[in-house]
Amino acid sequence: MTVRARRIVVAALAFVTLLAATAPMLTSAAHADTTDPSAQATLNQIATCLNSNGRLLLVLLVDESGSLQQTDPGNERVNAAKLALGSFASLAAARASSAGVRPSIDVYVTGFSAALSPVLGWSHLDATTLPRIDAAVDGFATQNTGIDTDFPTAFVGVQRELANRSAQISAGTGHSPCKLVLLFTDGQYDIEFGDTPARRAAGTTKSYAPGLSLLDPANKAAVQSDGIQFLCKADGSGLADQLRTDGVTIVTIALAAQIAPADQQFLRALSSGDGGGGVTCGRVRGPGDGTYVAAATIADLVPAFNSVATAIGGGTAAPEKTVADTCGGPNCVRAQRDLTVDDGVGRFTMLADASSTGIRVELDGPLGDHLVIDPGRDGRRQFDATDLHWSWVSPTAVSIDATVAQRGHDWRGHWRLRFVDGTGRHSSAHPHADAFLYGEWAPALASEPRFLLGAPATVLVDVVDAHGARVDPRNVSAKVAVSASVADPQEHRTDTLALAPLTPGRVRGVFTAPRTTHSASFALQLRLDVTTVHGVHLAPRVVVVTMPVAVPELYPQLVTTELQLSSVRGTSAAHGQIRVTGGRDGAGCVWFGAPHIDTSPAGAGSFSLAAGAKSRSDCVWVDPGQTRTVDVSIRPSHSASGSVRGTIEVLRATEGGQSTISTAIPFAFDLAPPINQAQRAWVFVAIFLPGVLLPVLGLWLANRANARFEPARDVVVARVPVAIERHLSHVMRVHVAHEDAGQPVRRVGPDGSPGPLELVPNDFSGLGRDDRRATALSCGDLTFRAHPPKNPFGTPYGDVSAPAPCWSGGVGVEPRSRRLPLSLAGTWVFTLHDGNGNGDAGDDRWIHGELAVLLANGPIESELPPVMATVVTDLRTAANELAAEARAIVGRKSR
Amino acid sequence: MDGRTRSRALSGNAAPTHLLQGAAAAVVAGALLILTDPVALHVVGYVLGSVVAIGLLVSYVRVDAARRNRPGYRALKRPARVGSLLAVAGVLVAAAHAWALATRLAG
Repeated sequence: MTVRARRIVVAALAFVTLLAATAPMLTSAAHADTTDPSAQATLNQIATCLNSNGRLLLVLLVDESGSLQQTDPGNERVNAAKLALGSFASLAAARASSAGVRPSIDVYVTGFSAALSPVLGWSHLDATTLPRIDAAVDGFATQNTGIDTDFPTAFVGVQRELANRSAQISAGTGHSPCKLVLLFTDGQYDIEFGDTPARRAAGTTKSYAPGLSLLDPANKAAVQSDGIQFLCKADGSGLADQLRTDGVTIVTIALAAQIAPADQQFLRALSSGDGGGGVTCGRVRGPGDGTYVAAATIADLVPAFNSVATAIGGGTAAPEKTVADTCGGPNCVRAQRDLTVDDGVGRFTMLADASSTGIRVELDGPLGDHLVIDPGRDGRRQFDATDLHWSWVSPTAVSIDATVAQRGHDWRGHWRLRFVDGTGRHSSAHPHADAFLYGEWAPALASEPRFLLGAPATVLVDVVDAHGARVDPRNVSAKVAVSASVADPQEHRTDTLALAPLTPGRVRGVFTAPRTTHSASFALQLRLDVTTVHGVHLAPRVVVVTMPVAVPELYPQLVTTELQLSSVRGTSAAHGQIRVTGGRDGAGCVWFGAPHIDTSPAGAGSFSLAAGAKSRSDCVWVDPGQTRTVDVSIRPSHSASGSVRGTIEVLRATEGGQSTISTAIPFAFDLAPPINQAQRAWVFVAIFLPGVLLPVLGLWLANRANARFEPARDVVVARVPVAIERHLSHVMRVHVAHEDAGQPVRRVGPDGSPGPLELVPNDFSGLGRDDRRATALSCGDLTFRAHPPKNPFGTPYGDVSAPAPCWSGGVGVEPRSRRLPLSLAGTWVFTLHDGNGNGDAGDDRWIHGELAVLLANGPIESELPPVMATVVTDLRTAANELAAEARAIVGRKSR
Repeated sequence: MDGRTRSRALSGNAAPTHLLQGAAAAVVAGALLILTDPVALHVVGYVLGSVVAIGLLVSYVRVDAARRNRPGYRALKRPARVGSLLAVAGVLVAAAHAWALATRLAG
């Protein structure tokens, strides 16, 4: 049998099995909601994680398949997703939890069809970023043309993004965040087959079904079977199990109208492991791994998203229902929703859907306030002792959020939301409202107990309000129940504490840590259950506190009870540090055993202790009272993507003592795939070069464009013959000193005799008549050329050339060069004059040449003196060097 | 830069040091963003170090060159050295951000 034939048989068997398993369920259309115990367990687990951890990575994964054009033409999924994001944003804006943790949420928004198509990378979610994120979500309204609904490919991308982000966060904070995938879909796992342009554009193979072309419809069963295997393999290596191992919770919200019951079971199984009717996806571990929420109709979509988000935020669905009325005439109340707020409630939210734009929403408070909510206009105000704000999530649905404004203000009582038909013409409308209550109180430790092996420890638990004040149960009408348990993670044992009232609002329990435990810490879980006077059981508030377990004082004590190692790319080692404090009376010794891995991503291979004291012979000694930090490194044998959790055994002994204490410290770190070095190099070059080279190129072009002289008509020039005294020997200097020393530079008169160097306006004439800025200018036998600088950040300059040797100078000009500023004004050029243009034709005392002085066209009285000053200071030296150079050249030629 | 501002800039007699200061500020701001995490901030840092910093240097060179042709212009003593230093710093900042972005995209 060929591989392809085997795949077809396996696929056929898989589908037959699936159908057989789902047949009994065909009649039970899924109407699961968040009150389902499994869903509640999942959502409570996320809420607890967020309460304790404070950091949530949320992936909004939205189906983009073409079927949405039929199932959701009004794009309700966009409104629903935005509502859910708004609820999560309000979580982030809420007060810190009783554990002192303020929720921080990062969101990644992506669609999927044949592949993952992100619309917004990881972004912090709060009230300030919400509009930008909402704008990205709006893009889903037009993203409904995908040809596949490819869950395996989508979740591969989601796993990668979560692993990368989690690794970044844990590297920075030392703690792995909670991870939630909110999946919206309107259909089953479906791949389109056939040789079509759309198929070719979206890819003709799937990575999980290598060798099977999507162009051939005969491969459909085999490809989808491979996809299901890839996701749901029962040996723990399937993608769904890998995600669960990574701590990822999947909440699927499905527009279930078009989804067959069997496919709904698959989605439920993908989310939680158990789809019912024997359909599973990976290992079934029990409630809490994920949940599936079906929206039976498009109208249920927004409430479904809302119920998920509110449940994660600790909301409880209020029991009262919307009561419809068949009234007629103007201002008739089509429906009303009562809500009773009792002791123990600190906040409520309502999602009111008028179902028609002609119906207005009104709210009555228990203290007499009345509010008409203007359609389409969000708002906020103080309302009957609450801080009330509302926002419209669609043209007909408004989300209302009320929080008790100040401590001591009484907002209890009956609230009423009414849908008023102003014209009385909307009798076909079916308005309704969902309400959610949030508890105000939380459990908190009154003092931190000390768990010492074999010794009883007292645990004191208070019930506190939002401001941290203790709540006296005698003064409240609600029924309050506090429970506490201690979980030993190594022994997999949980002890429920027997709590007894100590004082009003405080209970007391006693726990004795077993001497046999290997745990470095216990998880002390405090739970508060509140039942209002009207019988509403609010969502429990659960706080988990990690308590270190102390050992007898003779032994070194562990300061670090949980090890968050650095995140790892590829097969590099994850590093961490364990702090140990010495025992009371003598030195102690600490070393480590091999790491024990509880969960790791598929393909990561084995893990080894890469650094740290590995035996008693090379243990770390800690003196009494001393605190030492010991480096620990764990290295995977292969690269993979996901989270690793396990324990490392810490062994402790006293100096000279034979007995040892073994303690397992839990550790966690994230693995991310190795960086593709070649890709990184290419991307770097592609990013870096344009950003740097383009501006430099622009600079070069600017310099080139700027390399032009001032217009010739703006410059005047005087060219006069001059004689410059040579540098004389000492004897000659004495000989000439009595004659006319002090005038080394002289103007040569028409008769050839040197006179004072003086220039008058008549000596000057225009350099030219051109009024354009030119790159070259001529002045007799002098030629000026403009140049861009070699250094792109330099200044364009000009130079001068002549048949005879020449040098330039002037105000701000480097003397004895041929370089000039492009203005030319204020400069001079000396040309050695030999009659032939190639040597020094002067006598023993004088060097003869021509001086050209260039000034701006205008009165010369103010400009000339500084230029002539530079002539006096620089020209003699320049001429002498130029003459010596010229003579040397002539000498070389004559030889 | 509108026409009036431009003509005022070109007709000044002092070196346009505000452009150099702007380039230096862009480089410093880009450098401060190197150790941040969000991709968007790396993009901002990259743009500050490359396009903004070097663009301001280009503007400086252009204005400086234009003003040098005016009598009485007080040029900086070593504009090329200052510009080169700022450009190198900007390039390094841009390279650091480009590396971070490349690492993120290749991860």
